[in-house]
Amino acid sequence: MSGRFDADDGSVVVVIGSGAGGGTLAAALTEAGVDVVCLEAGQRVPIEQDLQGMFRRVHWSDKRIAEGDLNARLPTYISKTVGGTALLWGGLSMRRQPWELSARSTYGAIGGADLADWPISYAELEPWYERAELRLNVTGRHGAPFLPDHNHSLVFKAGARRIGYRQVSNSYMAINTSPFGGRPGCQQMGFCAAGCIIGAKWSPYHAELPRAAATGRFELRESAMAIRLEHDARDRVTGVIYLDAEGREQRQRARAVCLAANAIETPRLLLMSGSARFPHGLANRSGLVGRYYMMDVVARAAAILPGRVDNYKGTTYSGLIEDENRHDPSRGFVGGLLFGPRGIHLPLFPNELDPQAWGTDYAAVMERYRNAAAAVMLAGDMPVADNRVTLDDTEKDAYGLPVPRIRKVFHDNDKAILGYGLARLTDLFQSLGADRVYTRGEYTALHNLGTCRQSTAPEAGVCNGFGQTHDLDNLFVSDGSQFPTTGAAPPTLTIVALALRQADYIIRQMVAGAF
Amino acid sequence: MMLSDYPHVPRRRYVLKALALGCTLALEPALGRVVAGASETFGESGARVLARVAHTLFPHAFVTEAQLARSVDLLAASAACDAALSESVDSLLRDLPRDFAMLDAAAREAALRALVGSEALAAARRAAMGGIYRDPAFWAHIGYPGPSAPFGGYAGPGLVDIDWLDEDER
Repeated sequence: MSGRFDADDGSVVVVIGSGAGGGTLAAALTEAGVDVVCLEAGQRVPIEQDLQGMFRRVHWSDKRIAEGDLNARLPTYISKTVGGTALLWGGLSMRRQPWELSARSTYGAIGGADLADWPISYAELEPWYERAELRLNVTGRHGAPFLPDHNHSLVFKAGARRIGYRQVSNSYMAINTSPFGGRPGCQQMGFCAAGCIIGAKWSPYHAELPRAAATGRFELRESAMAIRLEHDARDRVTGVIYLDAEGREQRQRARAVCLAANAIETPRLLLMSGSARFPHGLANRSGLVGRYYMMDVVARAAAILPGRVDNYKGTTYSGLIEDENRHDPSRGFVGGLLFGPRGIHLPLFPNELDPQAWGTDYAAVMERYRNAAAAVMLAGDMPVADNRVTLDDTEKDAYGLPVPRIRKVFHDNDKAILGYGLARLTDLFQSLGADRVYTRGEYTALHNLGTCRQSTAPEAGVCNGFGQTHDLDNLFVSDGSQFPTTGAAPPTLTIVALALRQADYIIRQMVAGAF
Repeated sequence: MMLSDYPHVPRRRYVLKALALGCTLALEPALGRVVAGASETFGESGARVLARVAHTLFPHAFVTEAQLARSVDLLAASAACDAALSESVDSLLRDLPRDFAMLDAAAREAALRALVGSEALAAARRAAMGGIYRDPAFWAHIGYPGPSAPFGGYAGPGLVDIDWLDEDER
């Protein structure tokens, strides 16, 4: 090993994954003086304005087996690359609502679901949200301006107001409106979901990993696929076994290990790390590792409008409706919704409206691309114990590791909120003069969450409110796996806030000599 | 690597199959995986029919033969990664009318409608998307400029040029 840190250096904190959780955690720890080795299964890729090309280069395409309602062909949309899935995220940066952190208390018991209150209150999380917003330079927060309008945002907001919505804005985006953090202001390049070619959008790739590297306390090992965690007889993690780029097994000793490998790979790694002391998987004395898999309710609508929109111009997701982001069971479901526009580039347009359609009529619709507008709805889904990640008994992937099985069956509440949201988006586009509105639910998981949930009681979850596993003091969950419940807002800002809070906790624990 | 490793793959596909080793995701065939000579995979007449299939799926008047050929190449690349798909394409070619390429547009579309549900048809659609909709020549007909990096993005006065919303909505 010829890196900055020796494989036998047990003073380092090992972070597995370099995305929103891992990248931010690594930056916060190293800036506080902690040495960090980050194991990233993927590689760094150059950013290009080619959505399909970027997807192919970074997609985590190792075999998965999907069950239930998931798209069997493409069950999850997760990146295996430096910067993680947050390389391709849209940038919408919103906090969880206070009531979303106490979903069990607010919603009551929901049959077939396993709602829980988070072990941390909104008041505890709020200062970390503020730090996260400042770090990401979120538009519309702390005095930062909103992004400017473009045709698509104007069309979306006009439709929103025509159907009665009033909480309409250009959205809270982790996109610089002017230079900040060594990155430029947005030039309305479009292609936000291809990684932002100029780096105006916050991502671990552009922001956090360079911060970590600048400290001199950071080593990023690419193509390093963690395959097993090791522990001692005192239930302390002692190191990580991983495969390097040549497929050779390597061992990195560690003072602490933080798992930020996404809500599929994090529980998978724990389940693959069983031992005599943890026969059902590491940190799994609760038996809950892998359970309560959530993916949010994400759906799309699109339409051809009477005039030209040119939705490809400018930021992809600029625009937001917040009116429905409230808990109001009179609508027929619990939880809230958000809506926003979604720019679509021409190469993806045929699949956006109807992924099965073709023929003369459909081709005529395609030729009206410049009049197209599209939108997305976001809502939380229910945590259900049987929606889970497990290891297949027989199938192995290219590493020789058990293939993860991912089961997701939508709860009735998920279906109700989906139907409601798509009906409202249909209203919106019809108010703008659309003859036909194309709608579709999303069965590829864009947000993967919940498989190592936080809890106060050790028997009710995998980790505590700091992401520290109940079973091993120096093992942490640092990604969206730790969410006990989800909500309407995309998870990234919350993952970042939790990572900053966790870094502070780890440092205090280290100073106190806990590990 | 021996041909006997692929007993289910006809010899004409062997080279393609070997080239395609490592295919893990054939959602949209990678450009780098496109292999020349779809006719080697499907036979000359098969490739010609599949080009007409691509045009029937997305029958734009301004589609070029190069775009259709590209679509068939992409389908060949996918089939090389997937023996079941390869068999399904063979089946599709058998099930289409012998004079499919000579039929008028409406009759071709009707013939394909009879095969909805075929994996080969779905794959042909994906391939046609790649062959047609990723081509800058096609973009030019629609008026889509493609990547914005060459001209520095849309920031500035041209960002808003919509003219059909009510004045107070602009």
